Amino acid sequence: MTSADATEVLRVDCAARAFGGRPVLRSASLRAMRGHVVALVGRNGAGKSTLLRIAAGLVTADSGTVHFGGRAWLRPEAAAFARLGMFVWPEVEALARTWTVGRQLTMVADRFDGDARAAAERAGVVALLDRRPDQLSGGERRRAEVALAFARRPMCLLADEPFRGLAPIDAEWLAGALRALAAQGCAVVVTAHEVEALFAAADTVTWCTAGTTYELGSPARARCDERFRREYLGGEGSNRR
Amino acid sequence: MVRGWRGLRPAVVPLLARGTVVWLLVHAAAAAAVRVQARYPGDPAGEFGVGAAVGVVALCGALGAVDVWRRREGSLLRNLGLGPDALAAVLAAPAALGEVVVGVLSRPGVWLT
Repeated sequence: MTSADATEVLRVDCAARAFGGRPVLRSASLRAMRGHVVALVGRNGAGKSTLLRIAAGLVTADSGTVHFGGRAWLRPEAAAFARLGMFVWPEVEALARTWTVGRQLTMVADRFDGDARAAAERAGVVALLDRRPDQLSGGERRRAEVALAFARRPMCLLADEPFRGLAPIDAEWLAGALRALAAQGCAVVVTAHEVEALFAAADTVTWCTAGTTYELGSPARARCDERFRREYLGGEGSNRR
Repeated sequence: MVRGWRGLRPAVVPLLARGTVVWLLVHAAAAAAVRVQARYPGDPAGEFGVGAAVGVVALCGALGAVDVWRRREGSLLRNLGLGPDALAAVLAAPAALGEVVVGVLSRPGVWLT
């Protein structure tokens, strides 16, 4: 996808949020472009999950605006965003425990005119359709969650820590799946600490630190940023120049 | 493209079915409590009034919300575009409808009495 095709799908402007009087975000921004994967990185407690939840309409910012679906939202609503084309992949349990994987895929596909069977085949979960999420391993559950995203065919996907706990081979597959969603025109934002897998999937890196964010450009450029290397990548970044 | 309520039916029907079962149990318990209370002389609360019906609806909605949380269905329902207001309405609907029907049928002159 060329940069000319990269239209902005989601933008968070100058979001601030405090919890119990403790400011987590002071002025954080985030942009998601059509066909691009944005890696949102930062140290634990830096506020990247909060920023993602503000972008998803799950948390209301104390100040700041979310632009999605052609309008600016001061009080975003997650369900309205979902109807407009957003799919939120939370850190824990995107799938309900009650229903089988197949049933949940059908629910999403029926609601948004997707193809549950094709999504299951693409994610390699056809054999798991009759199982409930609590009968799946961590890797299988991640694949089933990706199938849900495939069935939804979202305009924008926000994924919070999807690489957590995955074996390298599964992480590699997941990076490919995120790229495949982006290739369909989806704007993808992913948070993670698994830098190698994340950077393999990402087009751009946004660094969340000290309550604000920095757009660092491509993963290669991000690795060259001295402050980012020093304050986030640590030894890993300096070894991979 | 988003379908309307028709597309939500596979998710909403189980919620309504569960809501109906919960309402039957809660209403039966509340009615039994009212009957027990009515045995004590001097206690004015001798019938299942509007206040009790509203309480039953609120309790059923709250129990439904806890059940959705317990089953971790919130994320899926949100991704289906079902917001908190709509979810609350779906969870409370069977109880509200049930209380209205029971209330109408148990009025003097109607066949339940």
